[in-house]
Amino acid sequence: MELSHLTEAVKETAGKGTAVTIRGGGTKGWLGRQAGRPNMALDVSAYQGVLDYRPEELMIRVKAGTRLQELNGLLAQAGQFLPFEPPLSGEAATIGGAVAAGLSGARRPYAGALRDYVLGTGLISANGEYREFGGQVMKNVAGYDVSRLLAGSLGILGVIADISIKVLPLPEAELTLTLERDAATSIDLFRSMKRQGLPVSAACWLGGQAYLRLSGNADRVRLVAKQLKSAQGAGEDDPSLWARLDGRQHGLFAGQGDCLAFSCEAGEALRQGYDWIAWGGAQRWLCTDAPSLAEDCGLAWVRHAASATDTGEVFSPLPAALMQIHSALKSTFDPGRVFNPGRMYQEL
Amino acid sequence: MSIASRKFRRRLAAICSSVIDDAERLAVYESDGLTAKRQLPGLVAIPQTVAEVQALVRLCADFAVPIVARGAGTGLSGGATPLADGLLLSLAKFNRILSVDDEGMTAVVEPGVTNLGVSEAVASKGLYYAPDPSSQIACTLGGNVAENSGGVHCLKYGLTLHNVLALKVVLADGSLVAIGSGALDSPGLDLLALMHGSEGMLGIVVEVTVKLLPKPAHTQVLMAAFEEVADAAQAVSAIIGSGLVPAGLELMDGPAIQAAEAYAQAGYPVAAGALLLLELDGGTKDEVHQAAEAVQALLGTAQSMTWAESAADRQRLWAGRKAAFPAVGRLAPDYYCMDGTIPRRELPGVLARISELSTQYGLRVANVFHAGDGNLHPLILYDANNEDELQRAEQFGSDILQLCIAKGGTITGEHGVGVEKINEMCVQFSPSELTLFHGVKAAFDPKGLLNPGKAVPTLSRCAEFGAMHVHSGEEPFPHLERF
Repeated sequence: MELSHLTEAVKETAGKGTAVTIRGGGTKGWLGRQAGRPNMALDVSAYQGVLDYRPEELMIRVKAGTRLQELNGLLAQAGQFLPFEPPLSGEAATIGGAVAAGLSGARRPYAGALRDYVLGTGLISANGEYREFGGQVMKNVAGYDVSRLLAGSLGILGVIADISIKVLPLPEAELTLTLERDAATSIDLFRSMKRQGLPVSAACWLGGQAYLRLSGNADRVRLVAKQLKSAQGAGEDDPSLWARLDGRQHGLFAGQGDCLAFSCEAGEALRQGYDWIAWGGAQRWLCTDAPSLAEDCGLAWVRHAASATDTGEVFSPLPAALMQIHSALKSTFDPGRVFNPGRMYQEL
Repeated sequence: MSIASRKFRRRLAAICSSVIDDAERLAVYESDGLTAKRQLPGLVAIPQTVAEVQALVRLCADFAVPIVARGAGTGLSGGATPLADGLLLSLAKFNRILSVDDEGMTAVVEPGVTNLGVSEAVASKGLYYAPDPSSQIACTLGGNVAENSGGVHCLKYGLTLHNVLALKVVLADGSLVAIGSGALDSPGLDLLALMHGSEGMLGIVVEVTVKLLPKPAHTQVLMAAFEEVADAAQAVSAIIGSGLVPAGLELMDGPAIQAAEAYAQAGYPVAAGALLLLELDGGTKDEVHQAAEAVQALLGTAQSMTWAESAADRQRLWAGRKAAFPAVGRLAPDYYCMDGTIPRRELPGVLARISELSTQYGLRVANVFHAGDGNLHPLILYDANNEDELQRAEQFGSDILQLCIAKGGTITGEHGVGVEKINEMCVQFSPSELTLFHGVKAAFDPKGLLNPGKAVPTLSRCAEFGAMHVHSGEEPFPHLERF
């Protein structure tokens, strides 16, 4: 599909003032609020393909409808990867959806967030106008950093058409280990390993077990793994665990209820029992039938809604001064307020 | 009502005890690191508390007085160039490190703390703050956020944006907000990203929470000399393409090597056409040595290679590069430092073109290059007392920036737009993109009182400048020959 076809399609759907639900692979219905008013779907998944990929420049530029699976495969052929490990929430998941959702995977505390790797984006507004922000180079401070603002914007600012991303070489070696441990001492271990600069690329606690992934120089990974095995009784485990958890393909997400994810500093005291503690302690999940906000009311939270008819708030509320800025930004980018209205907050 | 009114001055004095209004002391603030642009500020206020900053901002809002925030004034693009009818708000007294979390590896600092000051304060714990602009002994964290500063280690460790977790910001209406947090996720749009590089136009940063890193256990620095810049550029591509990510990767051309060596006696080979400085770090000696061997195997075209492992030897090799600006500064009364970024593969062609332009304008130029991330710093030598040379230097600079855009790059990698590159913004962005930037500013600052006139040109200014927007990577009128 050509860019002109996409801008035409956007103009045709959004230009009429009707609310528009932007749809890529359609694998993240569980994230965000339901549209606040009648709407039309705008499917952008046909706009796919690589626009530019130069491994030696550590940069790839792709159309937003490109499937994550395809992108991961292409990068792997050149020995590279997306360091933010976007959750693969289904085969159809696209890079545009990943950027709009702004979700990072298990590597988040060690390699940074998805937005850290966004170098540039092309954005289409309701009148079909295409605008480019950022670019294809590693360092760029010309103009406000709109391309990174779009990461995690849930489509409320316009249609993301293409994305330029910084990529990195795959680690030479990678190994997943597990050891029996309670949640509190697991977090202590994760923090202490990070503090020592050990080659950890993922750490979580789940069902009475601590899980660690080591990545990097092969000799070093082997050495640290050996120490963990002899000193802590760690054993090797299935490396697919991380992708299954991030992509909600794990049994944890099989229930009928909502899931709640709390964000905090990794060292924050545990205030209740959790089902899954991700990001070395910095993200704590409840996936029981009726999770309650009460215990962790001070923390930022996201609710992954189980039902498509749920219209409650999904993200922790913003202070009034920030909401005012959000609303003004929404008006600037999307004056008709047609794109994904209410998906992030009712007011937006 | 204006800054000159007695009522404004009376209320200002009631808020803040440190106000400067005599021409002699105002002159200290007449420019930042972009000394070619000078302007006495209307008044200078040096508040001491966040409450004072809030009250000052509210006062200025009441009197419609524009505010220019200033840290150390080391910026190179005129982001802190004062306004004659404006208040210059110095954050010099915000110089305390408020807290350090050793285990959690974060520090909360005031915006007037110097970049190096953060690393020094946590060095005893084996930690450091990664971004290291070459002005790091003087430049402050508030300014680093405003410009999204980089440094020689950002290929591996990122820019300021990647190393800041949270900010406290006084908004244009005087309210105080927290943006970001110690947690890794914050609700809503990523305003923290938007604040970085916003050049003091969206809010005034009064507190910064930074991420700290454990100092790498082992470090090695390589100096490799090449006959031609193209050979060195080729070597850089080979290294990155092989899957290595060095902590630092810097390139200098012949004139820069000679100037740096004369200034710092770093032991640089002065006959070389290009010099590559490469730093490798890691958790064990073996790991670093393995990487060093891999690098060595890729540098077949190098004339010479020198490895430095001891701290003293490494510092000596870096000393020349870090002193490159003042070193080049000795070659002429003034120098003009450019800051374009280009895709790395374009380097040989861009340097060749800069050399042609140097002949055309009759001005010498030296080039230093953050080769890992494609950020080029041509230093144009001129004499500001010679009006004609100044004009030629500015025109030469503008040509270089437009060349960077045409090659798919950007006019500024880390120094910011400020007042310096505001015309070239008209080339890099379309009118509708610029209009959106103005909308972003208005969302934060509806009255347009925070650092107005910087970074984003008005459309009428673009019309006056007469430059046309160049779509990324495409030169205007590609069928015409360009020399």
